[in-house]
Amino acid sequence: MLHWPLNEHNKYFLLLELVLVSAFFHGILGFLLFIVYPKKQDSFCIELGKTKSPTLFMPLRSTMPVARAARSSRRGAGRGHITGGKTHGSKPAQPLEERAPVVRKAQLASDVTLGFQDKKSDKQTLTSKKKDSKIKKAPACQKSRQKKNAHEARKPVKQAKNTKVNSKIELKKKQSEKKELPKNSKQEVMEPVKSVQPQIQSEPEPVAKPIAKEPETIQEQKEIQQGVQQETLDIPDDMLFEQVVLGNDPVDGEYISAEQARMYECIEQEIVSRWRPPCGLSKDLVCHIKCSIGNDGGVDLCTTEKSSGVLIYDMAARMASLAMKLPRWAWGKDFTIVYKQ
Amino acid sequence: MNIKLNLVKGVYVLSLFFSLPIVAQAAKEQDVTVSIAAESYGKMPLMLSPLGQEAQDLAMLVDLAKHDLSWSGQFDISVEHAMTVLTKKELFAYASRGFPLVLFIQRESDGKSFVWRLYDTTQALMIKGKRLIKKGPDARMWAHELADMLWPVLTGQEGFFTTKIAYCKEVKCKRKRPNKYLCVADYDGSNEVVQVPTVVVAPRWGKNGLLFYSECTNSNIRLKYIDAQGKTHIASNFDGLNMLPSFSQDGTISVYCASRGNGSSQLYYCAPGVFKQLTHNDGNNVSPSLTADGKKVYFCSDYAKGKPAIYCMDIDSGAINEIISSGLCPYYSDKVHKLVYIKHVQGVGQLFIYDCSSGSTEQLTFDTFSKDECSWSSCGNYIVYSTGCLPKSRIAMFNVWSRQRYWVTSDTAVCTYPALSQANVAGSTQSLGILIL
Repeated sequence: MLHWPLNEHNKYFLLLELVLVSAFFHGILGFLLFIVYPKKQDSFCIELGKTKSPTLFMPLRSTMPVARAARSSRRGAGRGHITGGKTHGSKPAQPLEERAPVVRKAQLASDVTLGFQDKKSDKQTLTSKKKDSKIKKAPACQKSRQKKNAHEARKPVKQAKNTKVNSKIELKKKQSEKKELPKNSKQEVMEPVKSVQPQIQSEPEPVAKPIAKEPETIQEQKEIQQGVQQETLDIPDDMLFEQVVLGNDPVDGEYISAEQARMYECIEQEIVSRWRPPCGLSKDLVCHIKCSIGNDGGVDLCTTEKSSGVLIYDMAARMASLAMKLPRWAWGKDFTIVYKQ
Repeated sequence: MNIKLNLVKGVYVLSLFFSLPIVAQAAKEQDVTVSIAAESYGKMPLMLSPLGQEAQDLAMLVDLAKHDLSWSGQFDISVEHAMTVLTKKELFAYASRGFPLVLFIQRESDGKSFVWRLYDTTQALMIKGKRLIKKGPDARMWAHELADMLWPVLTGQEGFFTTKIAYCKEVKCKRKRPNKYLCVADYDGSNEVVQVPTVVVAPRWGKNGLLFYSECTNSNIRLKYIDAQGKTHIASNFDGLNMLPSFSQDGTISVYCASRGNGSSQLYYCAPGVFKQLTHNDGNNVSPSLTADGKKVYFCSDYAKGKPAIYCMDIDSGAINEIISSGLCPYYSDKVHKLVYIKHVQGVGQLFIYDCSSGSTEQLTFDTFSKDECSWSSCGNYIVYSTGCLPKSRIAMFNVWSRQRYWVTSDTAVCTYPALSQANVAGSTQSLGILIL
């Protein structure tokens, strides 16, 4: 760009180019800021009067220890549970026998012993489970599958037709050969369609096939299977349920809510012991206090965003805020605390 | 080449300049809103600081004000003398010691008034300041007035420290049946004064400090009132009983119950130039409670079912509606638009509240002591009632918000029929002259 000769035309061209380049980068920046990483405002509601808090805390690391997952599944039963750092609504629990066949139990047992190592392995288990489900659905959806296969089979026919058009140009003179050629092509294409049906029939036994292919390792595999079955007996039902849910739900890496939950927990612990409003006031009083945390963890600035209308209530809220001491992650941040009775 | 380079640099600097706000917005920390509900309640620390030279009346005022403000249990009062007006640093020092509010009280040089100033020590700002003029020689009244002035500033509620409580107290006489005397005391039961040393029942406060009561005579129970000067007057003197007057906001309309020799108690309506019977039934109609506008009256009657229920009557149309199927002693508060009444739960009279706007009821008390004769304070935050099984009975005050109970009379005295006046009744001398038949 800079090696261009300096004349009027190139000068304007350079300016235009610069404007375009800067606009391009601005566009990327804007895309990143507003679409990929948009600013999110979150609010939490802590109900301390209740015996159980509905808050769930999610691990920040991608590999979740299975034992914790089991615990979380117990806690989150009926409310929500954790799947790879993202909360999902509770689903109606199905009977375990329906959900987890023997083969899957074996896979689950291996998961239990090894834990989650990679997302790839998760994806693999996902795909295998999907295959299993497809296999189960195969007899019911056989007609639709046949249609799909037929559709797939027609694709080569179309390709053949295209080739036929080309061949028409080349072989206009030989009309008798033209009629034979498509017939042959059709026969060639239709052959795999015929062979689809036996493949579908053979699909419901995917596990038995490899064992049959290797007769030497049958005993070993039987032993492994027995061991696996023994292990599966030791697995608690909650864990199985959790694994199944993990397998079915999408996994992504959004840990924002987990971070916020930790913040929420920390602020709650700090304030709860200090927030003691005076008695004998209306239960509907609400006071919003905005706190700016300084570089020492203390509250630098404390302003009443929304007053309750009662001086002693506001003062009690402000005193509770000023006494707050937060850890390093909160330094320099602003929090709005809503004080309720 | 240099020009080109400068041009490029300039354009990129410009682009960076325009992108800075976006970057700054992105870099700004997330605003987190946390909502916290209280686990327990506490007391608000308040420093009372008499300012200037020490004086006896100032010390008395501060002591009594401390008693008043700490009575409700909402404040934790400390007293510390200061010589001069404090600097900002000294005010901040109060905040660091845990006193977000400081009240400075200063006696003026002429000795006729005090000046008080309330400070927010966290910001070193004066919230409010006023002058308190001494009314009479009694330091209690100064303190009550000071507390009444401070209370709305501090709590947003109406002050009630100048409220008087009237009640009947049994006094044993030698070789005779005990007499019920009419007594008047401060809101907390202190400074008790016997007003009428005859057999009286059911005192009721009228407007402007008039105190009505029913006096037992040989022929009837007549309705009398006592004015601010302490003089007694007959208000209603029909045959039978004449009791329990209730007044509208302006005090010009009243409803009371009288039997007029017929055996059953009926409600009568009194307004300037109007006197009429409201109820015409065979039952007993008692405890009328008039609304502020004087258009509706709540009362207790057994005319329909033979057992006491609470009814609402529209005075203009005369229509009667049953609002509570089982209840006694209704008392309506204009302030909160609610009705307090007694209902027997497993044989024990308990306090209940009926919300006139929503129609919902709520039980306030659950203890084993039976309650009777309840009435609202003028601020709508307290209910006064008598409790205990006769012959023992004492008067208690109940805070509607904190659900706390405060004893007004001692457990040795037998006190019944409590009634709370409006705030600032002492200064009133005006007599309305109604209800005198």
